[in-house]
Amino acid sequence: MRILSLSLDEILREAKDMEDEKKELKRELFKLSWYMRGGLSIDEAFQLSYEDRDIIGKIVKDNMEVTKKSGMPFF
Amino acid sequence: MQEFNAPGANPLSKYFRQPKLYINLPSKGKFYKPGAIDMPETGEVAVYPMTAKDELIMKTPDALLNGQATVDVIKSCVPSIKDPWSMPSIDLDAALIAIRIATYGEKMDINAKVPKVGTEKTFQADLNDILGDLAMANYDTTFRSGDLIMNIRPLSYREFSQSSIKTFEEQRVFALLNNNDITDEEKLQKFNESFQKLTTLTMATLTKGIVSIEIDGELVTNAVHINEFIENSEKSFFNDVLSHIEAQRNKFQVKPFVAQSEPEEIEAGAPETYEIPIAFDNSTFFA
Repeated sequence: MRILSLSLDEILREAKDMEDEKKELKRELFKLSWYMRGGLSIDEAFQLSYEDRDIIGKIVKDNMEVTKKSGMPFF
Repeated sequence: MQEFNAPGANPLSKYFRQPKLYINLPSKGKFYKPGAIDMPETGEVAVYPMTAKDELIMKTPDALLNGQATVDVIKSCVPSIKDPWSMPSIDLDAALIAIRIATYGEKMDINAKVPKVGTEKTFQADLNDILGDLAMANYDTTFRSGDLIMNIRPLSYREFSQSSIKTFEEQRVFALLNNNDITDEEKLQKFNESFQKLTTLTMATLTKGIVSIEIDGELVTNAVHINEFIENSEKSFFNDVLSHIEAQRNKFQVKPFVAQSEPEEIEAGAPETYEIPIAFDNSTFFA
C-alpha cells in the first residue's frame, strides 16, 4: 500500500472511499448471514474469504430461483 | 458425545481456511530475528486468502498509515511469519502480492492511457510472473569500497514503516510552507529545520542497514562507531554505500508492466511498446 506517497487531498479522498467500501462489505456480510437462515453466524461470515462469499452468494441466488419456480414462500 | 470446552488445540481447526499457494520469500528466511519466522523445511511458506475481517482492516486508513493493517493481514494470511514487524522489507511486496493472488486470483487489472493517443485502456498483469521475479532476486549483503568491506542488511518492516512515516510528516511541513499566514523568515526557518530533519533521517536509515565494516582484518559492529564513521566519511564513499543499498532495494521493486500497442494505435503515433508502473494501492489491490 502506497498511501504515504499520496497528497493530503488524495489521502482524504481515499479514506472516504475506504469508509464507503467497508460499509458495503459489512452490508454484504450481514445480508449473507440473513439469507443463510441461521446457517451462517455473523462471526463466521467475517471469517469468509472472497471466494467463499462468492460461492455462498451463488447458493443464495440459486435457492431464490428454486423458491420462485416452486412457488414456495421464501420468507 | 465428547465435549470440547478446554483451552488448547481447537477441534474445529480442520475446517479453517486452507492455504491457496506456497511461496519462496525473497529473503529465503534470512534477516529475521530468532522466532520471527517459522520456516518450513521446504523453504516455502503457505499463503491463505484474506478473510472479510482482513479486508476490513486493509480499508482502515489509520491502520494503513501506521503499518498495523499490513502486519495484521500478514499474520493472518502468512502465519509462518510470526512477527511481521521484524520481517525484512524485501519480503513485503512478495507477501502482499501472494496474499492478493490467494484472495482474488493471479490477474490484476491495470489502467493506463496509450501514449500520444490518450485513450484509456485496461491491461491484465500476471501477478505470478511478478512474484517469480521477486523470489529470484538476490540481496548482496557484502560489498567493497576501497579497502573497506561493508556488510549490510535490508531494513525491517518496523524500521521501514517508521522511516516512511517520519518522511511523510516532514513532507507535510514542506507543504505547509505555501501557507500565506506565515512570514518569509518563519518559512525559511521551518524549511531549514525540516530539511535538517530529513537529512538526519536519511543518514539514520542508511546506517541502520549497515551491520558491520571490515578493515585490515578488524570488524567494527558497534552502531555508534559506524554512525560516526558514516557522518565523517568522504562524499565518494558515502555515495558508494548509498548506490549499493539503492541497487539492492531496486532489485526488489516491482518492474513496470510492458504494454504492446495495437497496429491502429501505432499508426496514430503510439510507440510499439510502453511501460506502465504497477502500484499496489486501494483501487488495484482489491478486486
